[in-house]
Amino acid sequence: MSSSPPVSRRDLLSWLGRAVAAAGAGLAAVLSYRFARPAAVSDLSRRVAVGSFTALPQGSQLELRAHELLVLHDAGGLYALSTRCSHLGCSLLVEPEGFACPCHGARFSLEGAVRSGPAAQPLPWHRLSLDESGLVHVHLDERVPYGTRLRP
Amino acid sequence: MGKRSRRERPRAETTRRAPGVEPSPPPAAEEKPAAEAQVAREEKPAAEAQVAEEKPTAEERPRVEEKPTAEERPRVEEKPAEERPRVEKPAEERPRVEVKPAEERPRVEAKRAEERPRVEAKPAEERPRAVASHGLGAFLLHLHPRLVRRRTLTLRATLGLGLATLVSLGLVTLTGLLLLVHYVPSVERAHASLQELETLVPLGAFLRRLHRYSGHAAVLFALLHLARALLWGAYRGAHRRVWLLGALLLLTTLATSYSGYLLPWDQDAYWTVTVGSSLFRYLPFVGEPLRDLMLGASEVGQPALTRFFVLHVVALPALGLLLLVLHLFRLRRAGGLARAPGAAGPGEELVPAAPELVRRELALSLLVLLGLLLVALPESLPLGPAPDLARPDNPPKAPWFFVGLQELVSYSASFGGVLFPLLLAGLLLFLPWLDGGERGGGEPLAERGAALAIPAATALVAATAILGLRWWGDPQAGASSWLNPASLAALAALGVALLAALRHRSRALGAQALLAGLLVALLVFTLAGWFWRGPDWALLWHPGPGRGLP
Repeated sequence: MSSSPPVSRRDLLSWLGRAVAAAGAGLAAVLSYRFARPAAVSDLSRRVAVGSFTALPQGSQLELRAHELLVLHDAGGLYALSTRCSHLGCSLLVEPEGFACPCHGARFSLEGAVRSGPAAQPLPWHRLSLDESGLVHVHLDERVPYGTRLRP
Repeated sequence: MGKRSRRERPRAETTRRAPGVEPSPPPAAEEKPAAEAQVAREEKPAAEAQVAEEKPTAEERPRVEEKPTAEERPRVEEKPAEERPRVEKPAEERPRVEVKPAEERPRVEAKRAEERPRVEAKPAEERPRAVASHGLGAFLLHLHPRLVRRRTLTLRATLGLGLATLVSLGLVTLTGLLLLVHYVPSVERAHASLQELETLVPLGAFLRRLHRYSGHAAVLFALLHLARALLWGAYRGAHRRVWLLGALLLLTTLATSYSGYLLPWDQDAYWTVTVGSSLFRYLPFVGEPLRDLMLGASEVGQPALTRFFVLHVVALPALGLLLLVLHLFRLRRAGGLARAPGAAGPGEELVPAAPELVRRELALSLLVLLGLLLVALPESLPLGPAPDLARPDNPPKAPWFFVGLQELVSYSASFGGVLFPLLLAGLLLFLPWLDGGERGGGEPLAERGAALAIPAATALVAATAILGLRWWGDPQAGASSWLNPASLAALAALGVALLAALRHRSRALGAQALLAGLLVALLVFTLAGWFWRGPDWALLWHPGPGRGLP
């Protein structure tokens, strides 16, 4: 054996031990994360019937606070948007000319566009559908591009 | 050696009381009662006289010695005097009484023998040995050195804020344990169980207030403690790790307090956590997984309540306890409570930690305890209404220590809610390494130029923040993600810090000024959020508190 090996056996074992410990800790962290992550997520279609099309004449609006939802009928047709602030999730207050967030002061137009305040994204629009009996359904987990309206 | 033993003679009353006993304890067991009784009755005055005689003979003794001797001796001698009557009890009991001193004496001697070489120059300072070798006194030796500098005892040295934090944490833990008996961590039952606690359980409302207020006090004292350490430069050199652990402890305390906010499941609870957890969405990469872990679902509901309960009651307090122990351990290893190295002058002499320091700590602890009890005594803090999941209050206000953050995110979630807090936290944790200084801890603003730079940073940052609020404070005023009151204030802090660092060629001063400036900015935004925000988060320039204390 030469005078001093570049890595002594003791050092090697020590490093190996640390590597194994680090790997073990990493594995434990990953497994703990997988354990604690939400296990069951409901994939039931979240759809709400808001009434017949004819019951929502032009100019009317219907707020469903439990679903944080507003359905409006303007000149272009019927649309539904979320009244949950796109900034940090507070429920918006519906005002005549738009929405106001009490938590951080964001303001949105009635079409959901950001008018002022800290919000960076517009309010999402939900897909609407008409069933054969003339009921309007809002699909809470489906979004449509801004401006997509339902016409009879 | 010879010199030393001569010097020690006067101090060891114990030795004189039973001369020649210590080398051979067994015979002493028989002879001592007589000897001790004699001391009790006759020798005491004689011994004192002897001591008085001997003092002048020891020429080399420093001046300092005389005060402690005069102060200490009566006390030390009174203790044996209390025990002596026992010695005169029937013969059967005698051995027991005597064995104890015989055992203790060698130990005390041995301890002294170890420490002698170090402190030899000041033999008088060794004399205080009122520290017990068992029980509470011995335990305190883990926290404090046996001797501390007299200067450490002054209020100015530490302001007692660490201890005040510790007491608040202790109280919040105890009251929390009691509340656990009645609280039910379920969405359906949580609010009702607290209503029962408030109305039916004796002292229930009081304990809930005490828990809430001592939690607030812990955060407040910890923040002040941090500010004290910052301004005194007490985070430098050997105290680096103490600071790091303390900063981690502060973050843990904040997290514990925040997680406790959900538990009452009232209006404030629901919306505070809804907003707080939404912030994670803006944190790149780790944000969403962390949010999933916190809430256990896509919305705040039962899984979130369960998880916050676990965090608040077990996980975070356990982490906090670990950090606390390490914080105190590192403090002890770093040389104990605040002291400037090498400074000579008044207050540098050593005094025994017990009772000098311990007595003051006890007094301060009782004062804090009394204060908290008094604050919690009158009725306040009504339980909020059950949450309206569709409508927050207008405006909803975060707990006071997060109102600054609420104000910041009202400019921009990514800047105010993520970047600024992360920068602040990073600076907080690693300040000692950014600073690089070695000395500090004795006096406030002792660094060269600090007495000018820190107040200047404070004033300029505060002024900038207020002007920024004036321009962009209103949600409609058009603050942007990058140009808003907070970024302006942060820039001002950075500017003053750079200027101070360059002018005085001191990285340490720059780091100190930067953190001080950012903390001042946070303070201004906290005050603004608390006093100047009205419905729809509009800025009201006439101050008026939101809704009373949280």
